[in-house]
Amino acid sequence: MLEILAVSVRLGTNMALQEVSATVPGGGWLGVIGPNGAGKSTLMRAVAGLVPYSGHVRVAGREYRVAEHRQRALAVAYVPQRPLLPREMTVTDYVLLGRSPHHSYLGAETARDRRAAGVVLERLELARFARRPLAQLSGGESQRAVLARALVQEAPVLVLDEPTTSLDLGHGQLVMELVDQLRRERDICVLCAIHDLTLAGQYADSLMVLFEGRSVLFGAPAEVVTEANISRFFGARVQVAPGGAGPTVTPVRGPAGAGGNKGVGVNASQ
Amino acid sequence: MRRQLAQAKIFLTRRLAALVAAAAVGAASTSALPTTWSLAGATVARAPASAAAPTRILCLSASATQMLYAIGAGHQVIGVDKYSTYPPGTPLTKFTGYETSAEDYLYLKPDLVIFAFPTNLVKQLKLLGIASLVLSPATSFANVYSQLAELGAVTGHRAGALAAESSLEAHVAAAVRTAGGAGRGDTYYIELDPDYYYTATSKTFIGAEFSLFGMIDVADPAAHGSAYPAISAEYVLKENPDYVFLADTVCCHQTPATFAARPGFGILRAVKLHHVIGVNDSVASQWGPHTIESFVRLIAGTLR
Amino acid sequence: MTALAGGGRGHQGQLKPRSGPAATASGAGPAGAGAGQAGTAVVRPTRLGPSHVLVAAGFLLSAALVSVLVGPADLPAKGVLEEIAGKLPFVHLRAGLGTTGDVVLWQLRMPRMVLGGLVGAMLAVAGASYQGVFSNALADPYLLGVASGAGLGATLAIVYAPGESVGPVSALPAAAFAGALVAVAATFALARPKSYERSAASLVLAGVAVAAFFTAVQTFIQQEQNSVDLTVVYSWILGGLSTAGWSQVELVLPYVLVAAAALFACRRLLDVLAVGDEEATSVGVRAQRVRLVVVAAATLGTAAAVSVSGLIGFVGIIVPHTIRLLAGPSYRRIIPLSLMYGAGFLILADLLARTVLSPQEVPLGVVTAFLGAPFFLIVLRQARRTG
Repeated sequence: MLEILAVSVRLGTNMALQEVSATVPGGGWLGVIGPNGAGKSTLMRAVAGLVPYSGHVRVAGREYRVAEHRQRALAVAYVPQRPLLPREMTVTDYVLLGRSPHHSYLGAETARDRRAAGVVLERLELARFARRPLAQLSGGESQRAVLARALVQEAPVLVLDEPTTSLDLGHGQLVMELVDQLRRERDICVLCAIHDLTLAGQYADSLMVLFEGRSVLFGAPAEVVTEANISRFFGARVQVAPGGAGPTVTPVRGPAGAGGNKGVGVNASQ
Repeated sequence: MRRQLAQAKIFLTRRLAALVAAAAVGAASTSALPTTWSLAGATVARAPASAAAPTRILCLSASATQMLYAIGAGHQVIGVDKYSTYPPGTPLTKFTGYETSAEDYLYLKPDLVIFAFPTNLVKQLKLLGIASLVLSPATSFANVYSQLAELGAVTGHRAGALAAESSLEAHVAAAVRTAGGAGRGDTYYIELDPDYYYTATSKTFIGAEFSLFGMIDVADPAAHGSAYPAISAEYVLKENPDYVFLADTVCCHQTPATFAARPGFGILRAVKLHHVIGVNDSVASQWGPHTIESFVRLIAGTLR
Repeated sequence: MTALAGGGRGHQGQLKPRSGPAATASGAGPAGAGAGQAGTAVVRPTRLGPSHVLVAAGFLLSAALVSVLVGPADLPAKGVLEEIAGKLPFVHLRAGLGTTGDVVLWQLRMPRMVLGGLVGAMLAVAGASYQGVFSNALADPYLLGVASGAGLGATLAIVYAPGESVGPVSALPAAAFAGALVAVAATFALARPKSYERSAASLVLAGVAVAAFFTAVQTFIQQEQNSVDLTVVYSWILGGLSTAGWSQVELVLPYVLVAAAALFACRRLLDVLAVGDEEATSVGVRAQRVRLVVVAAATLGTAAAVSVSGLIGFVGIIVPHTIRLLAGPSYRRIIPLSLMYGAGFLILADLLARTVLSPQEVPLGVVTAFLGAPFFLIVLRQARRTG
């Protein structure tokens, strides 16, 4: 279980996050949506312990101090938005980086680590790339490699920052499906920041809307993703239709000359 | 590339002089070689076996070469560095003393090696059972005399050393007499480099040679603690020395003509009176008896 | 969409292999070598193989042997080999060389060869470590001011305290060592990283500033002095191995051993740093702390090496980079191989330096540049062709 309690982050003079709270049960999926600059990435990084924050982040009731990076790595796995993929590192070595918190600090990976990596490589269909350098992988394959590295940490919380941004429709879907499968199998809490509202609605159990650093909406996708809410917080004109897995969001083009983001805000009257 | 200057480090030579004085006293009362000298941390030991004078001397200091031949030890010298060109006919080698491995010298089978500066080679030679001697650049006549005495003691030519010292003293006194007081109180500028106007103050050995004649070094006020300061063309113009000695004739091809041709230097007193003299660079980097005698004779000749 | 059969429910987060028909549709089939449970791929992480070690050790030992066999004293090869073999345990041979030959071998050539090996190993492994912590293949061990600090210390010693000693150590190496440490400490003091991403960059920038300052002070002091001092300073800067028995080796050995051991221990962490500070932290490796330890160890060893050998360039870049091109990017290989190839390389460079223009010596820094650059270009071209 992941508990986010009144987390605030100050970046420079700006309050990037203000008193954000949420709870994700084991095996649950919380999608975080919001316009650009709302603080989604910041929230992901705060939960992963990569920025200083005030408030509390608890995994299975345990809170981790700033200095406890190794213990935190055993609890929270993080997939960044723009992962740094060392060009010449093999997929195997890259995935094994995720086992760092498991073996001794200076030591090498153990047989157990190699087994865990083998399982994940197999599962994410990366086995045939195992000895290849990362530079030779396509976008979808390398995103799976990053996911593999996070999964091999065997952490009960998986934090994903825009996992589908650089992927085409098919690969994006593939990744989301994988995460969904694995979170059910392994009881992993998923915290996922995402742009695509439809995709968010289809996979997340609940959605949280961040706006200017605050959590302004929380609930099931069907409740949160409404035309009114989207217009209010995203300044976009859309049509929302109920779908099988979740609401479908279709952008609607207005009459020529009508503007976009006018009057976006919590107190906007629309 | 600038040529080598004899940089005298005051405390090194003071220490050397003190030790040499003690050793000379000790040597005068025994017939054995002094056993150890401590020279700035490098311990020089004599060859373990013999108490006899060395017969295979490798001298890597042009000044020491002059001294050895002056005291009559020339026949004991089997090799000299490539710059030891006086006296003519010395057994020249390709060495400079800046080698890094004493192995280089082994083929000569020396029993004494003489250097002009401290070097790791001393320790290496000691490990090989070969004695070394470091005679650093002199800063005064007293240094020169004590080095002569030391070489005399080491090579078994104490009498020859005394004779050489007397001879040198006599030559120097004669040169001063020849000048007959001319030049006393006159100023001079000795140039070691034409680009940066490196010069020597009166605290150096070459300065001591000029001081014999009562001459005054224009560089003294500009020294700022360094014995070989770099001054400037403007300074030279301002000081307007009576005499100019160019000790950069070999390295930097300077002559009285090139000196006079420098911008603005035509107004200098020394140029107008033709008191600009070119000398061989070695006068500022060597302190052997021959160098000294020639130079003081030249100064006397110039002043008359 | 691919069919992904669910596996058994494990503990939170733990991985279990899939069971079921899909398990056989993997790259490493059941007939593959050593696949563990059904459905797991064969995982072979990059390791330092025995072949790598053997080739490197062979290179080093050959270089060392050739180095002690060659010298102006013309020692007979057979005699040298007998002497060396005689020192091995359980081997009893008559002494192969006379007394002089014995001294030449054990007091002149051996210490110089060992010193060259220590300095070369240290510079190479320090360069490799810097490349790891700064994620920059062009980082060299002088990056944070070691060179300028040591140069300033050496200049001060040459000009103001020639022939002086600090206890049993002469002033020059002590001052160079101290100068190097002061410069790097200043770099760390000046670099105030505001966020994870900027800590490496701010260190490098602070290093540039410190180096510029120290170099300026050094140049100022040099300007005031005469040409003998300048010659000594410049020849120190160009680098060389001048030994007096084993004393220089004894001087640097403890520092180099400690530094090399620390860097060797951290080699796997350097691989983790390749994904950047943030991601490294997310897998439990604090990049800033690793950087601090690695830089401290590399600096300590480099300062010691530089204090006896002057500033020898290229070894810290050429050797690790060549190894990277030939053996791959993992520091599990680069660090240990840098130690061995760096040692051998510098031993050979020194051999060349003292034989090419005998009895004059070419400054070692010049030789490393002459040797290193073309060789590196060759390796680079070959790597481009294959890679």
